[in-house]
Amino acid sequence: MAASVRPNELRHLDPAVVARIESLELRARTVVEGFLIGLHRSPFQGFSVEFSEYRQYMPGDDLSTLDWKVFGRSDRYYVKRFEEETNLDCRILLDVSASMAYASHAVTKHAYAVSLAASLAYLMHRQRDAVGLVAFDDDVVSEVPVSGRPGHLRRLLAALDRVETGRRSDVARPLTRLAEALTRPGLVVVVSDLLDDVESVTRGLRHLRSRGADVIVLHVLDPAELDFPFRGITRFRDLETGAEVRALASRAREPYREAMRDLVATYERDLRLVDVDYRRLDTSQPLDAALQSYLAARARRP
Amino acid sequence: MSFLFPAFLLGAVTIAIPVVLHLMRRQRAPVVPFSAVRFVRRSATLRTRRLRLRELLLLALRVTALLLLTVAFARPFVDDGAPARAVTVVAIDRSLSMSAPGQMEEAHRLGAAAVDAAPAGHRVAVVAFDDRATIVLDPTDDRASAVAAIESVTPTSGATRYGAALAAASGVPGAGSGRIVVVTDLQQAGWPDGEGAAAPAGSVEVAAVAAVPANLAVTAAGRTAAGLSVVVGNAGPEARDALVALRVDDAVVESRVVTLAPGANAVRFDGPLPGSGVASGEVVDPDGYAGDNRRYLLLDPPPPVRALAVVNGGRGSGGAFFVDRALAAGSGTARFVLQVTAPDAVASLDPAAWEALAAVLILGTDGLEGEDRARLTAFVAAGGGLLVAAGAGVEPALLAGVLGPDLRIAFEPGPGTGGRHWVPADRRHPVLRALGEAATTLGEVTFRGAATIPEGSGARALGRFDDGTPALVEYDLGTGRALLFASDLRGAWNDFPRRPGFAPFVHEAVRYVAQAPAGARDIAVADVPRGVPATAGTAIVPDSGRRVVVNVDPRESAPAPMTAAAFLERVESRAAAGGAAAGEAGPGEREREQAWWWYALAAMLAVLVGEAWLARAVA
Repeated sequence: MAASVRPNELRHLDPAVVARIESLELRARTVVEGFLIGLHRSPFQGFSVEFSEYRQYMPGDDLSTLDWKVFGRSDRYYVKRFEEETNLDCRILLDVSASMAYASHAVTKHAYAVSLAASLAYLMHRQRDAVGLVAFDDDVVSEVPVSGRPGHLRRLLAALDRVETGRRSDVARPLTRLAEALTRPGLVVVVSDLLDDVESVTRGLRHLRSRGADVIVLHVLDPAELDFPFRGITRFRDLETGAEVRALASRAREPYREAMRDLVATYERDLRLVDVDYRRLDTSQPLDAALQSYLAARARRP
Repeated sequence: MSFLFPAFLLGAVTIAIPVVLHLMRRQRAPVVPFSAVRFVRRSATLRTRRLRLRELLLLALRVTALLLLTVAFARPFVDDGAPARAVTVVAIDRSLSMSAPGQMEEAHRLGAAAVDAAPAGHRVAVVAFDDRATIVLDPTDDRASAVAAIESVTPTSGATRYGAALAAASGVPGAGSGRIVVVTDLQQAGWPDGEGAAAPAGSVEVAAVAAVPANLAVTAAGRTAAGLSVVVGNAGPEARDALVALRVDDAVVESRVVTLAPGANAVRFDGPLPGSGVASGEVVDPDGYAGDNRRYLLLDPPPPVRALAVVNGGRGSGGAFFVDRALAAGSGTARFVLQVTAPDAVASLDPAAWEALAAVLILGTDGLEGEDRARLTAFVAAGGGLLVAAGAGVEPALLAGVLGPDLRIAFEPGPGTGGRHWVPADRRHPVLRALGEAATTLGEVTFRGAATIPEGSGARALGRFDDGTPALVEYDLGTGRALLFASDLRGAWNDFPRRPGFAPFVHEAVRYVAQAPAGARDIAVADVPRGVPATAGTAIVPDSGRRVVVNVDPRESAPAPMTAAAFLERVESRAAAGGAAAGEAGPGEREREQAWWWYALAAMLAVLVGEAWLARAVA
């Protein structure tokens, strides 16, 4: 079920606003709290937690959580509190290849992806899930093991804060490596621009899926990568290889868009076939869509 | 390969312009770091490559076009070091004097002999000349065709002019290193005073045709009060009896045998002549050449020039008296019909009257209104003529719009301020040139009062007072003509009307502003307009439909020859001054012969067409 978020609350999720917050933890908290406020005011009930205790109603609490029976019995307002049912191992695979440094506006794909990863980690941690991080380009660059212990979130966020964009991407390689090292199936969230070979990416994800992991792919793209708004004769320099291509943008535009549409459509089709939750994200869009994907996947877990 | 003007090759540096522009344009392509370049590569690389190829081709075409232009200006030619092949030019006299019996045949024979005598290895060219010269045959090795070309030359009605002949002959490529054989009857009249020829000394030879010993010719014909007077020239050494006749429209009216002494003889035919038609005087001359035996005179009256004199007070005031009398004395080449009116009646003239007018003389402006000025302005704009006499009765401000916005004339006080005189400043101007001897009498006129005319753009002083201020100014008003005389034409501020130059001046000034044709009724053979045959007789000028008579140049009627040595002296004396300019087979000649620059220009145009097509495709 989709969450409906009011426009004045979107500012907490606006990538440009979020990017201006220096502390990654604060950034993640801002995003998640803003997201949750939106959820409280919506009929969304996706928490995979179970009832824990009653608490006295405080102004601001969602009225839908009021227990009217208790009110009938005691004439006092109580709200229901929930507690998580199970711990889930969540791994965030963050692509830090050079192509993620691209930005056509204030936010690079890398900054967007880091904010996204931090927000997911924060939300997972809040959900009492164990969180881990793997940052990769053509190999694993940084790894924070999965853990749900107090203080782990700060360690993970510190690691996230340190990662920078690196070399060429090779999504398949860390996927394969992770799949082989996976002992306990959990949730794997891949945050990448997926500007890689579609076959090998799909193969890696299939491998991961075959090990029992739920996989969410968050395909982060810049608006300019979708629209190709360039004009005139332009020399395009590849961020990963440094190779240059000189093209008349107006002539290159339509074939480019078609190729990009093909890429997205192929990912959508192929990943659906292997039961991977695929979501394309635009760096100009709020971050909540990604958080919803996580919650939806979380809800599917037994 | 050599170049006639190698300095033009410096223009090749302009090739740098498109190259630099091309490079600058390339550098302007911005570099954009991008993540999904592989999709750009897949989609547009091929097209971009094609585009770049076209751009390079475009650049190459532009550079080539500039290079070709530079080469064309530098005038390329191949100089193989070998001397240019020499040419023997045979220049055949075809003037009227060569029409005497046997003369042309002799010239053909001498010309053919000159061809035969041309040194081995010489090419041969043929030039025919009278007062103009024509290259009949370009240099060729085919001597038979050269002889044929010589035999095709026939006599004309033109006069002899050796200067034209030698200029054309020495311009033939190779003539400088060859020779020029002039086949002529060596008429002295072929060298007008002061004329020579720029031919290299030593290269000119003369093949002389014996001149006719005697020739009779009618050299002038004029109308008298009683009839016709003709001048018959006898070029022979002895007096001869000859039949002289007066014809009117080809019919013999009167004829008589006259004894003609050597030299000029006046013969009068006293009898009334008709008011129109063509009269001619004729002498019968079986020995000389026939083309000058008859001279024609047009009896048709010349069309009158209609003029309007604007005088303060109109006709009754007498302000136009002297002008009227001067124009009434007109005869011969132009007749005048003068209408006199007051300034305030100018606008009342009906359009038909304006249409008939050729000139307006402004002698007074009292009462000239804006409407009148507008009418005058329109009249001048439509090609009408204006003569303004800036005397006391003329207010310059009222004419400002007619003669231009900047007309600021200051009047000096009237009579009694001492005398000034005026002299023509530009004697070549039609008004003053036509005055001839009368122009010298203008300096005798005393001006006691005059207007000061400022000199400005569009105004040209034709005459000045002795203090340097303009006395007669012409204004450039487009199709119309306007003259401003700085004093009056009624004798108030000067004694001009009582001087002999007054009437001719008024005539010529009015005729000039009226743009009336002058002296074009009797045309020399050498001056016939297009469409009129260059032979003596009557003709209709196709452009105007007017009838004219064409007469031969009387100089040609004197067959007196000069010696070959004297002829060559005229050539050589000029050659010393002319130096190497005369027909040397140098680089210029080689280049002219090869004319490669035309090919370079044609190639450049072809390249530009290709460039335009390609540029359109790239765009």
